[in-house]
Amino acid sequence: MRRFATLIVAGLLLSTLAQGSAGAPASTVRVGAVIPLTGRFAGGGAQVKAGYEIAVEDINARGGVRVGDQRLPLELTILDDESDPTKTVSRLEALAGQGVVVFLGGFGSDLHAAAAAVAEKNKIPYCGVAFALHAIHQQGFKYLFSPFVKSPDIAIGIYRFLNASVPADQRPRRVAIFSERTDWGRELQRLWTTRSTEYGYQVVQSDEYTVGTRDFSDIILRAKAAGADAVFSVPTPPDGLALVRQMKELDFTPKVILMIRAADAVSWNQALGKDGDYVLLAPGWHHAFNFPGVAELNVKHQQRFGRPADVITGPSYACVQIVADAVERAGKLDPLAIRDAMAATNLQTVEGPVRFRPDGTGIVPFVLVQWQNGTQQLVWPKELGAVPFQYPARPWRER
Amino acid sequence: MILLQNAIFGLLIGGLYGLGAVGLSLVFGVLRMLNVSHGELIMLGGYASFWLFTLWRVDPFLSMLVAGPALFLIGGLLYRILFRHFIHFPEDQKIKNSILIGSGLALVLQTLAILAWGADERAVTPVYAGRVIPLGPVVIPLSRMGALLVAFLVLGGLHLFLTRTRRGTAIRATSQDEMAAALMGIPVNTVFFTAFALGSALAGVAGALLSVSDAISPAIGLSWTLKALIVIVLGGMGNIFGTFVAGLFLGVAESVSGFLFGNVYREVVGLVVFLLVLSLRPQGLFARS
Repeated sequence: MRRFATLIVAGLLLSTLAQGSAGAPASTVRVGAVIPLTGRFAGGGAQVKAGYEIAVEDINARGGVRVGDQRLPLELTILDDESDPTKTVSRLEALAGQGVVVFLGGFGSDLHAAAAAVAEKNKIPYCGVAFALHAIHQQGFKYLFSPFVKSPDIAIGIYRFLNASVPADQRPRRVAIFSERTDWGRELQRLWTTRSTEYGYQVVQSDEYTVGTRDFSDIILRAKAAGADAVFSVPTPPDGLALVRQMKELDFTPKVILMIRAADAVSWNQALGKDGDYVLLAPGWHHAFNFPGVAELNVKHQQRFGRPADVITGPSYACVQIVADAVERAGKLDPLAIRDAMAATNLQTVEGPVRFRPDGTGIVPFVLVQWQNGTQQLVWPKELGAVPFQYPARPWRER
Repeated sequence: MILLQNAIFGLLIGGLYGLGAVGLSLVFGVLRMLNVSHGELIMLGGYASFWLFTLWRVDPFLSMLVAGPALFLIGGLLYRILFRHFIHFPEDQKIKNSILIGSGLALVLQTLAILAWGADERAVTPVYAGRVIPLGPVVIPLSRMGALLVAFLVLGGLHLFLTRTRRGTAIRATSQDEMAAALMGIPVNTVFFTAFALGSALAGVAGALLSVSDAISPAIGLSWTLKALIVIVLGGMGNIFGTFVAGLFLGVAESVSGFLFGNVYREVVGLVVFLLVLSLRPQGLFARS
C-alpha cells in the first residue's frame, strides 16, 4: 500500500514538472531529423547528416534564429531509422512527442514517403531532400516541402541535356531502362518512356528488377541485344555496383550510363576505379556551384572530411537554411505558422534561389554530374559552371 | 543464349550461396545452435579482404588466407564469451537462445563496422576484375570462376578434415550423439569450440571471396544470413555437402527463373522452392532420410 502511494505521489510530481516545462518559454528551436545512418541508405544518410549539422553550427554561431524579440539557438535531434520505413515512422512519432516544431528528412524516396504522412498527421512542417518521387507530392500534403529535383524534371532534364550536349547525328537515341521495382523506379520508368519520343529518343528495352538483386545478366543481355546505346536507372548503391561490374563482364558499354542515387556516394570511385567513370548522376547539387555560402560550406566540409561538400550535403544544408528563415518569418514557434512561412519561402540558399510550388516541390535547378577520372564533375547546367560532358563512354576494355 | 548465360551466372552466384551457408550448417549440425550473426561474420571477412587490398594491394584470393584464420579467432572468442554458457541446454532452448544472442550480436557487429569503417559500400576491384573466359556464345567471369573453384577446394578440404583427421572425426561423432561421444572420451567442449570457430572461419573465407563480385557494407549481413538459412533448409540442416549443392541449385534456379518469368521473380522463385521443400521434404533435398 505504501509503495502504491509512493508511485501516485511520484506520478503527480512528474506530471507537475511536465506541465511546468510545457508552459515555460522555449529556450531553443527544437528540430527533429530522422536519417538512415545504418542499412542500405547509410552512405547517403551520412551526407544528409553532415549538411544538417554544419548548417545548425553555422546558424548558431551567428547567434541562432530570431523568434519574435529574442534569438534562440537551433537544437537538432537526430535519430537513425536504419533505412527501414517502419522505423522512420516510429522515430518521427517519438520526436513529435518531444515537442519538435519542424522535421528534417532522411534519404531515399520510400523513407520520405513514410515520413510525409507522419508530418501531416502531427501537423509539423517537414523539409526533406534526397528524394525525387513526385507521387508523394500528389497526395495533397500541406506540411511537406522538398527543395530537391523531382522525377518529371529528371525525366525531361536528361533528354534536354543530351540534345544540348551531343550533336544530333551522334545522340544515343536507343534507350534501355533498368527499372527498380519501387514507386520511384516505376515513376521514372513511365516518365522516361512517355517523354522519350518528343525529344527524339526511343525506349528499346525496359526491364524491372527487385532491390538487392545479385544477377542482372538477363536484363543486361536483353538491352545489349536490343542495341541500346543509353541506360537509365535509379539503383541503390550495391545494385549499381553489381550492374556496372556485370555490364563490363558481359561487354555491354552503352554510350551513356545514368545511375541516379547509386553513384552519389564518394565511395563509388573507390569501389569501381576506372569502371566508375563516365557514369552520370542527378544529385541536385554540386560543390562547384557559385551561390553564396557554398565556398564556406566547402571549407568546413574539407576541414571535417577532407573533401569539398558532398552532393547531398548541399541540399541538406539548404533545408536548414529554409527552416531557419521560415521560423524567423513566422515569428513564433508554432508549427502551423512555420508551415505557412515555409510555403511562402523565397530564399537564396547554397543551392540557389528556392521557392516552393503549392504541392511542396521546390523550384530548383536540374543538375547532372559525371564521374570523370575519379571525381564528380558538374556537366549541367552550363550557366552554373559545368565542365564538358565526356561522351561517348569509353568501352570497358579500353579504360 | 541468354538462358545459358543466366545459368552460368547463377551457378557462380550459387557457389557463394553454398560457401556462405556451409559454416552456418556446420555450427548447426554440431552445436544445434543457429548463429544468426553468421552474415555479419561474412561481412567481416569481406572487410578484411577490402582493407588488405586497399592498403597493401593484397589479392582477395590471398586475403582469404588471412580472413579465414582471423575469423577463426574471432569466432572462437565469440563462442567463449557468448555461446558456450548454454551449450548443454536442451536443443530447443539452445536454438532460441542462440537466435536471441545472435540477433544482438549482429546489431553490435554492424554498428561497430559503421563506426570503424563508415556505412558506404566498398568493393575490391583487382586488375582482372571484369575479365572473362569466352566459351562459345557465353562468357565466364574470371574472378567469379576463381571464387567458385576456391569454394570447391575449401569444401574438399573441409570434407577431408572431417573424414580423415581425429579432430574431424570427433566433430562428426559429437554431431551424431553428444552423450556417446563424451562417454567415448571425446572432449566435446573442445569440439564445440572448434566447430564454432571453424564455421566462423568459413564465413571469413566466403566474405573474402564475395568481395570480388559483391559490394561490402556493414548492412550486408542480414541478407547473407537469410540466404544461408534458405540454403541449409534446402540442403538439409547440418548436411554440409547438401548445403553446398543446395547453394548451387538455388543460384541456378533464381537466375533461370529471372530469365523465364522476369528478373523481379528471381527471389520469389527461390522462396517458393524453399517453402515447397519445407513442406514436402523437411529433411532437405539432399538428406538420406
